[in-house]
Amino acid sequence: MNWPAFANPWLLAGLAAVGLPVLIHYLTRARPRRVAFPPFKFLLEACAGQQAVNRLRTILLLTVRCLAVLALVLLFARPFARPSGAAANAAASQRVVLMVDASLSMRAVQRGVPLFARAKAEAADVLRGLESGAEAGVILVGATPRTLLPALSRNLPALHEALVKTEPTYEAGDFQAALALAKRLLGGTGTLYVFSDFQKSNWEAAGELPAGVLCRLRPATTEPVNNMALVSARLLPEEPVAGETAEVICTVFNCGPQPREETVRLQLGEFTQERQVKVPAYATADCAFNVTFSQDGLFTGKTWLEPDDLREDDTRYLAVRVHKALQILFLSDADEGDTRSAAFFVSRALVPSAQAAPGLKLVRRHSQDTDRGILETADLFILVAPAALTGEAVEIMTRRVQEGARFLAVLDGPTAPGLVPAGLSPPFQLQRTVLSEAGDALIPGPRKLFAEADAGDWSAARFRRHYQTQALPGRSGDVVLSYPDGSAAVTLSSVGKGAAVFANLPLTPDGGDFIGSPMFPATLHELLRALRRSSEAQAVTPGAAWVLETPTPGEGALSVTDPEGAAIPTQAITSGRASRLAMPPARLPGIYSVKQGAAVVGAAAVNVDPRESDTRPIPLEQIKAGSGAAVTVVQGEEDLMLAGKARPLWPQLAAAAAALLALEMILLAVWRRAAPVVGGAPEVRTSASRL
Amino acid sequence: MAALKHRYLDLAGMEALRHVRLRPRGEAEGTFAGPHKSHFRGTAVEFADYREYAPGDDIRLVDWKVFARTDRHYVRLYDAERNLLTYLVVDKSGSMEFAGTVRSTASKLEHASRLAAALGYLVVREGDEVGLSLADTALHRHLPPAASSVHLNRILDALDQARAGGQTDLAACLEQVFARIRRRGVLVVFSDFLDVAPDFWRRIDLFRRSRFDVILFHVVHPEELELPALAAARFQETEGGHGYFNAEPDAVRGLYRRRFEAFLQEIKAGCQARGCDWFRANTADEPYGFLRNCFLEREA
Repeated sequence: MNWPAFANPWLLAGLAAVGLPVLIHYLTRARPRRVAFPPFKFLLEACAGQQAVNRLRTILLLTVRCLAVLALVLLFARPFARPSGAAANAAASQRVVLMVDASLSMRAVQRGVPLFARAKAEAADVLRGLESGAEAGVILVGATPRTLLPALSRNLPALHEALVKTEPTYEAGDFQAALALAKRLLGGTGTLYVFSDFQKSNWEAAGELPAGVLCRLRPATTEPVNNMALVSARLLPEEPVAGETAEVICTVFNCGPQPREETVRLQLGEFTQERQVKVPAYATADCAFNVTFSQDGLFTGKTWLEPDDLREDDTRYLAVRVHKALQILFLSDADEGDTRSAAFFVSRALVPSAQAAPGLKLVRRHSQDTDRGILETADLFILVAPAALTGEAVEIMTRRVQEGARFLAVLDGPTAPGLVPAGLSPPFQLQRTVLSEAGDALIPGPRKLFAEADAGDWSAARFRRHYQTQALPGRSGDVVLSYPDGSAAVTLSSVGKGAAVFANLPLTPDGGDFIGSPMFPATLHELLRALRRSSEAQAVTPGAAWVLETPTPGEGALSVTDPEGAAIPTQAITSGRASRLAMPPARLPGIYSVKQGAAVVGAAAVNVDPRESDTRPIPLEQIKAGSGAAVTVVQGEEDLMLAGKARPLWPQLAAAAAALLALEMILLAVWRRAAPVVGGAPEVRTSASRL
Repeated sequence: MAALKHRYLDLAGMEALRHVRLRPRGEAEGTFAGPHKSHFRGTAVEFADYREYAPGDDIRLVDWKVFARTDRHYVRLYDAERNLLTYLVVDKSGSMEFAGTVRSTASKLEHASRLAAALGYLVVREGDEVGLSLADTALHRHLPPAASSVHLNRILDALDQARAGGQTDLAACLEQVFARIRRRGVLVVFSDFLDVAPDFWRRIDLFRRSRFDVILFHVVHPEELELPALAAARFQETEGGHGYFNAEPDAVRGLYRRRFEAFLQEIKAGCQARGCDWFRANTADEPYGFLRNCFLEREA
């Protein structure tokens, strides 16, 4: 059995007051007046039966009063039950790890105080309350959790000093890694304090609390953090060409219980615009800005909302490189003068003339007539059968697409299998050639091509296709158009940072009447737009290592500065006309600029992780605990040190004191009403006073 | 009589008893002729019976009409009317000293003395004889019945000199009174009857069998009925006892009141069973008005 301990043991001196009710009873009782009373025997007879009852009542009443005083004294001494079993061992071992959430969401300000400041102060309290000889460690949880000191340390002042100097990060919290680190530090015994806002978006994937340790979860706030955030700002197309109208699409997230209307502002290069957006509760809404860059170059800017409690996620940064033109490498073995070839119709549909397609620069080559230079600089590869690629060309194109270039192959004819490089992960498998003399109709697939639902109408077109295909398992979502037998006609897939389109369409006059349809050039251009849209956005968030790509037009070393202008150490991965720089984890969100000499040659935007904008907490009971772990949620103003060591007993004592006082009042009321003798127990032949 | 002046006798207050007379329920057996009917034959106007003439009878009493009819000599007998013999027994034991905690009223002995004095005055005023006995464990003073104002003064002086004290043995005292009196009359006892034992009732029965008219004045103090109005009290025994009892009167009042009332009813029932009159004489009551009510009730 573990005896309770006391937080204020000196108050136990108040136990001397337990006898106070008895003392008061005797001191305040009425002094009896002597009365020679003739009918003495009748008084005795009348009251003798009540004597024992009254004495018992008085004793009971005094006992209740004494117990009430006892409960009150113990209440003020703040007793707590010592933990038992594994939890007791954990507490006794005095191995303590404080896990402090330093993720972006802890920058939220409530009642003028940032959550991180609260958490830090409470962690410091715990640290100060540790007994000398205790070993402690502090884990700061960001994208990469780190300890303030390499291992558990007995140098608590140094740990405290390091803790006081910590600042919250702009990173998302990786609690899975943090818990693993805590588990390693504690080695299966000790106490783990977690100071966090317990964001559901972070804690859902956190895994289990360490087994065998005493876990104290301390929410940084009990009130919801109402937050509006810009969780995304994308430019479509990602790298527009000069003169082309691009869209900046902003996504606003309302992490609050009420629908809200917000003003989203954009400042990008010379453009400044604003839009109103209505956002339902706990949902997102998009708003779009149209921008047209008149010239090529590098543009940076930002979109933002009015600041709220968590202002760090109200701004998102943009870095846009506007190209002079989109360079298209058109590969086909058909003669340029062959006006019945698919290559002729495709090239004409794409670039009828230099004036008709501003921003598109088409370079037509035979498949065997490609050099490395043209392959390395093209933004878009269009392959139209017949074509027979060299292995080197396929290799370069595959790499380039992985790096962000686009790829479109028209499988029209017997050379088509060579236009389906395995490195581009086609979503189908070519099976066999087919003869469809009557022509097959097209059916829209799961992936929509045109933004408007009624814009694409291929119902009148018939195709005498060459190949039957079969969609690969799990890739049917990439199908844009298909034939009635399920064969894919057009697919669109993301490949690395680029994208690839495979069109199993005969685009010759023999293959159908589609090339004569207005839908043909429209479909081609829409595919082009879709290709430029469908690259996987490489969002860079603080706390994660990243790669910055920049053109290097001249000679000279590259230097990178962060949003505050501080130089960032980098390491070049590749160099040449374009350089790839390995960047250390970004510390701040904002625009990171690359300079060559004094000229800015590149820029990249780092934005906060949108997961941090969802401030909804996880129900703490959903956090899993490892076997043998004793988990306590420390709420309100409870003493953390006390909670860390034991279960407080003051609520029970307060209840007991209240119950005893209520019992005393009830007894008095009942006895006064029910019987004439209350507190006046007669006493015969004794000098003791009334009870 | 008009010259009487005594602390226990307020003649102005006695005006309330001007039309009141103590009449025995039975026959009087006084020494002298009086207003009360007696079992003696005498010269009253009320014809009682005939008796055959015997030598020595007053020849004036011979009924000549009966002699003419029967040729025998009969004398007419008339009831004799005698005065009333009243025996006052006043308990002067220690318990009769009780006058309350704040002496709000007279002590029980004083009240009993006042009643006894008034009663003696009434008796003497009617030409009847009154005697007095002061009792505790024994008779301390016994004044045989007499009808003179001088005797009344003696009675008043005896009452004035009486001091409460000692224990009570009313039964023994009554036995002594019975032994000392020769003719029947009215026995009036003033006491708190706190030591009533079976012997007491036997003595009462003795008087009743001797055709005494018995009246018991049960003297009580208001604080005996309700307990003193004190927050706490140490109740002590009287009449030599040393026991005490600490209690809050407010707390035990209800129980005590029931018990004391039961005691009063017990005494009253004992009296009623024996054909005695019982009156509760509260020391807080005005004595003469009380006595008048008692007489009225008795005659009703």
